[in-house]
Amino acid sequence: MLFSRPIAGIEWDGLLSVSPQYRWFLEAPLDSDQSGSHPSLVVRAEIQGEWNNDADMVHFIPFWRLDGADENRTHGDIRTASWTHIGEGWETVVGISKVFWGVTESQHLVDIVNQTDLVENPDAEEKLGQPMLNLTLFRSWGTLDLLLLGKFRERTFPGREGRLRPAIPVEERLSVVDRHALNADFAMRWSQHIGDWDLAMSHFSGTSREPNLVATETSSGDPVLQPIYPLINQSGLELQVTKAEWLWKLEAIHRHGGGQDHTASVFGFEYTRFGVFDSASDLGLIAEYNYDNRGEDSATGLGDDLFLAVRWRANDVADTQLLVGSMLGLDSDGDFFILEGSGRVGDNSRLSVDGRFFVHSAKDDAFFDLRKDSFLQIGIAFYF
Amino acid sequence: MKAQIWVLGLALALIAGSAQATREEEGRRIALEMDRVESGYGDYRASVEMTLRDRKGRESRRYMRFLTKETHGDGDKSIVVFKQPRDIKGVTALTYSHKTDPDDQWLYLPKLRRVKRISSANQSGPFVGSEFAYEDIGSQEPEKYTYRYLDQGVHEDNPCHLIERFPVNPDSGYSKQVVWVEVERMIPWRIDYYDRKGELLKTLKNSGYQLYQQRFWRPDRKEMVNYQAGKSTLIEYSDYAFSTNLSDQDLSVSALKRSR
Repeated sequence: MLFSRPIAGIEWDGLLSVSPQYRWFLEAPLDSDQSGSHPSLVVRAEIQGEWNNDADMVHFIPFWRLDGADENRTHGDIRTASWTHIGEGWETVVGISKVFWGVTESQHLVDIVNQTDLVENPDAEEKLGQPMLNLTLFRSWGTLDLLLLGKFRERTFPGREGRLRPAIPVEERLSVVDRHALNADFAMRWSQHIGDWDLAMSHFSGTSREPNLVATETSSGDPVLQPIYPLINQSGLELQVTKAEWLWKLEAIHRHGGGQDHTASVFGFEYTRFGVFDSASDLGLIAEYNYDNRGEDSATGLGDDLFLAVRWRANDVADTQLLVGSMLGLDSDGDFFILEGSGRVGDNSRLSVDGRFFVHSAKDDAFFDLRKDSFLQIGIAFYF
Repeated sequence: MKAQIWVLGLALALIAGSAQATREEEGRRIALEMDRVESGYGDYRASVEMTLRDRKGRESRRYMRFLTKETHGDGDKSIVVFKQPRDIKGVTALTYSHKTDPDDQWLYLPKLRRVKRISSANQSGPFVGSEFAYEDIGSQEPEKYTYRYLDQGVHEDNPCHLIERFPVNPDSGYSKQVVWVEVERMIPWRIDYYDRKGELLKTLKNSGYQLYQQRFWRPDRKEMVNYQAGKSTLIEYSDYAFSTNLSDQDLSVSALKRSR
């Protein structure tokens, strides 16, 4: 708690985190322009104010990264700057905000409202703030979200000096963005839970968050990839059935537009054994199958891939946890392994170790360009 | 006179024969009475400070906010918002407890703004690394146990009923619990927890009972001592507020994202 006190009738609360990180790349880069191992620093603040008996709230979350190698990765963003009002049976959010949709672990297929801040993490979990007007209605038949999305945010890509990028770098200055006449996107989602079932259906109409990357040249003749963001319509389905230690999950999308129709899904389970090894710790097994009818050409590279992971939680005072997993390409010879571990150090900091290891990359595989980019990252977040 | 002796004899025989049933009924009666005295508050909010003490006496603290709403005919709905340690600040858990069915549970992860439905089968696991298991923190619906009246006893000058209760849920970490219920106010002072092997595992002692709304007795402190691990956890409550008009919308899956 940076501070927590009422000022002018508003209850303020804050949090600041400062996280130095270091990434070791295990091999020399593919392209001599690309950097080697290097440090990075992330600063993130959160300020929240509540008034009117908690019926009104403001949130402000600025974010900033200073990267030791890639100028594209050195960037700042307003993750959130919004006002929330809670009425009887409805809520509104106005401003820059973030919305998450989905249930699965290996990829977030249905999640489309916010653009991916890809330079942050190749797992695409970090998102850019999105200007929006969000109305939520609470009814007996479920929860309905209606969203009007303003300014389009382009995806961030590693620069020429950055790692974890295509062999030909993406040139963001050449990007082409197709917009609706109103310069806005529309989205809606219905969600409901009935006993063990959590179900949601969504629809999005607007500019695709996922660009098509087209090979071209700059005016000086350098080969680059040009991001083209087409207008699309995308329908999504999310389902989770929770049966004691078993979580059964499904996400599926159908996308129309951008020159082709496509269907993709991810489904599987998470099974957890509680209190293993005669201790308080839990051991979970995650298995998810990723399908995309575009195959290896899909932007995610997950056309026919099986994700297998083991998650361990110590349930100790330090909240120690570890996830070791692999994404196995079934249709092509390309696998990668992931490692995510963290634990609290002292009262208010958290140490984390992350890794991604690309192995057996064949030429036809979507991750072929990343074959020299295996890395191990260590970071510590200090909270104030 | 002879008839009266007959009746008395018959009654005694019946009592002796059904002593087992009577003890179970008496245990259950006390549990229901304890629940009746505790219920009817509508909703409440409270701040909680948790102090975890390890074998060497080292301490670590957690701060959280509890919101609970009673539901007619079913278990409570409750929200726990974590405030400290700061690395989990804003993490929020929502539980819809049920009388006999497994509870429904969701977790909100503020960094991803993600709401996750989680398994509630982890009844015996530790709550945030403390000596309180999830099942100790959760709503204590009378239907979650079977009962047996044990004895009478005294806890710090308060005459108590001692009742045994046996968890119905096979995921429970306990074979039984012994609850010390004050005879006068029907409030629990102490619970002894026995592990699955039947060994004494932990003791919970409540203290500093305060009266709210001239009707509801709530302890200021709950201390759980784990004999087997040599560790303890102290929970201290503050800022209790009853009947705060919490709505079902305030305890909905969508409301988790507000992260108070």
